[in-house]
Amino acid sequence: MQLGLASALNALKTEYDKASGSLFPEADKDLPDLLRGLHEENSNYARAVKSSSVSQSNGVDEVPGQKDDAAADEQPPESKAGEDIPEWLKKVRQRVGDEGDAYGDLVKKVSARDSSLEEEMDKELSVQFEDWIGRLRNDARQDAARDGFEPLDEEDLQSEIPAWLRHLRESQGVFPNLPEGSTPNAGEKLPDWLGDTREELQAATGAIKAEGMLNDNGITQQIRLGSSEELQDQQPLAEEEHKTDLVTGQEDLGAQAADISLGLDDITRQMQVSHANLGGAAGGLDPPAVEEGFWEERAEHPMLRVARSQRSRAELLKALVAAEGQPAEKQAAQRKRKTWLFRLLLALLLLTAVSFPFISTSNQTPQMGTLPVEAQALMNSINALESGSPVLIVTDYQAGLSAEMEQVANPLIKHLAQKQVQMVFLSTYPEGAWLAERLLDVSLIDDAFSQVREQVVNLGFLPGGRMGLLNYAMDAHTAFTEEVWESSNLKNLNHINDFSVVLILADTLDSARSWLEQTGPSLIDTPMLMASSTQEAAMMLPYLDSGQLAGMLSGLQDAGLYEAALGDTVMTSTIWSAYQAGLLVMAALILVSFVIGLETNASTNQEVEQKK
Amino acid sequence: MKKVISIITAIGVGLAVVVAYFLRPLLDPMLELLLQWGIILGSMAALVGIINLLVTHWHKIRQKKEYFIFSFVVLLSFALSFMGGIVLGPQDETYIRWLAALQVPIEVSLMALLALTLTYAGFQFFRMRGWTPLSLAFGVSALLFLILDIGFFQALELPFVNQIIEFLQHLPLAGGRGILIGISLGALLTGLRVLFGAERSYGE
Repeated sequence: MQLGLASALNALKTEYDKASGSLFPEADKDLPDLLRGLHEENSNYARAVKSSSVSQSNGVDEVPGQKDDAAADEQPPESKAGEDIPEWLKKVRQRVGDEGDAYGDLVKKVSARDSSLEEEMDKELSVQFEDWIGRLRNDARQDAARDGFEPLDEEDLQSEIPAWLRHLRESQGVFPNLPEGSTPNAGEKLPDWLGDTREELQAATGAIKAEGMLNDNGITQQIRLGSSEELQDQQPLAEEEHKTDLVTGQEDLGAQAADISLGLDDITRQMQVSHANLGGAAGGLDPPAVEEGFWEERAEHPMLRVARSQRSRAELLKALVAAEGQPAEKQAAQRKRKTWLFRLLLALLLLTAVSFPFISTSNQTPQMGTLPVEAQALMNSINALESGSPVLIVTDYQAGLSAEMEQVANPLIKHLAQKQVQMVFLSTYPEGAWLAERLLDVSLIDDAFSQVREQVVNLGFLPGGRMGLLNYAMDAHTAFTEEVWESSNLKNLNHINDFSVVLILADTLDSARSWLEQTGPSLIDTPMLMASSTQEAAMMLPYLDSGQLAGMLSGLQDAGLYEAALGDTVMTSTIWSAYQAGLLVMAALILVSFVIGLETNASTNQEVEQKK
Repeated sequence: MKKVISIITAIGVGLAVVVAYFLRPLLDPMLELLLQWGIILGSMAALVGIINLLVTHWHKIRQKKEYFIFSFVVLLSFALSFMGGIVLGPQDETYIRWLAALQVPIEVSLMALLALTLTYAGFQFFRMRGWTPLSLAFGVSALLFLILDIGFFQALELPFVNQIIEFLQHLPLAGGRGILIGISLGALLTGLRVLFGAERSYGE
């Protein structure tokens, strides 16, 4: 125990003597009593050992007290390092220095045990470290999986490196992440252009080095930038740096994976730019074009790990989405031009077909066929009229359909004029008033109808729509001013039922229904007759079938037949021919579209089968 | 309160007209009075509509909005027509010819354009859709009635053919009757909704 404490104190003192000269500048003054006693005992013991060793070496027994004094005299106040070491220890050390294998068995065993203990400690530390880093990695993987990141796989990383880059690395002697003992694929070689470029690069670099100068030529700088040394320096270091971060870092593994991916991408980009510049130097590639493509800014999140193929697909999708809102101008313009041209051709075709009968006057034949039943009933109703009978004629049609309606109404007006009836015109359309005048001008051209024309009364526009019609049906006098009824031709016409016949010239179902529904119930003995356009004829048939209409004439065809039945063929022959020509062209076009539709159907079926 | 008055007025007038319609000629004086009020109100509404149209186009001209030149044409045409009717009178032959010379060509051109558009649409219908039951029904019916309207078969004057043609031409009767029944039911339902106060387009 005392020896141990003394050794500790000696060692302490020796170390501080080395550092600052003396740990105890005031000798043993400041030591506590216990330490001072120990120190004195130690000193005495050392002196005793020293003296005994000296006596043993000299073979002379000396008095301990004398030795103590001599030693005290010889020992300087500030002892130097190593001087306090016992002699035996010095000898041992000297012997160790002289004989490397001078350790005894005990020492060897102790050393061996210490070394084995150290190895075990290292192993244990290594295992603990591996466990710790493994836990960190597992936690990071779990976090990454929870956040939607795929676990990092070195093989995936390597597989994402494009083939040309692998070739380039192999050409530079860089085989990153290859297992020991494995060799790069010797079967794959650099493409010819890249091999040529590499040779040119080496030649250029050698020439520059041989000249010992670097000018400001951009191409030379690019060649220098793309030299293999730089690539070799940058690439493995950057990759190694990121991989080290991956192992030792305590951050999210997904983030490190993204860093590695981005790091590889950066290196790849630099290498691509370098070799693009090389290509430009060799005249193979356009450097700015390649550079723009690879140096464009990316806006991805740093946590996002995106492969190059995925990025290219994302770029394609972004381009498609961006182009979605904007019309494909060329295609749209071409389609518009084609549509416009087709419409123009169609219009010209129709116009030519309709115009031809007017140009060619040799083919004007009267309408052939049998008058329909409803037209025959209408004719019979007019035939039953006596001379001077009042007839209400309603001109409820638009100016745009006047061409057809006038042709339909013309034979009826002529027939009424032939019967010498008194015609009263009325309209619920504002333009109906002057359309009635036009109709009379067209129909009663013959001088034989002049007297009839003079007796015609045009009541004009009846306002109020259906309410006005109902009001007129209830009391005709209240619907117009008293001045109207002062005419001698209207003196006996106080009610709509006072008319012998009501003839409605209607181009739409709405106006025809208004007359049928509002005034029909007021007509007791007065038949209601209808002349309509072809398009509305089908909707009038139910009223004819129910007896609300006594007769009907619809369309140019019936009008032509009616005219033919009257023995007059002047009006409709040309117009009828033009009408027929127009219908014929339309029917032919629909037939053509039938065939095209068949082809469309076949192609659609083919697409469906291909999809299946 | 305004809503209640509107509802009461609408329902009351509607019921009065319906009752008067069934109790004619007993309630004819009341019905005539209501109808004349309605005609006056309708005419005033048309006048308000015309004024609104003029004001709208005038604002377009003042603010020089896009295509304001058409607004200028509208106002000019209205002013000329109005003044012509006031000065010459609506029955004047010159005035009528002038109106006809303007209105008839414009509307006939629109009708001709409609015919062309329908022909083109009929052609495109098959090209786009191919042969479907709907397109076939449309195509067959259109083709059939176009050919019938040409009058070629009628000109043959064969009794058997004429019977077939007569049968075919009465085929639309069923469709027309169905449409008319649908319109009538819709009108009836709307009238009932107004009478019961469920349809209050006048008070909104």
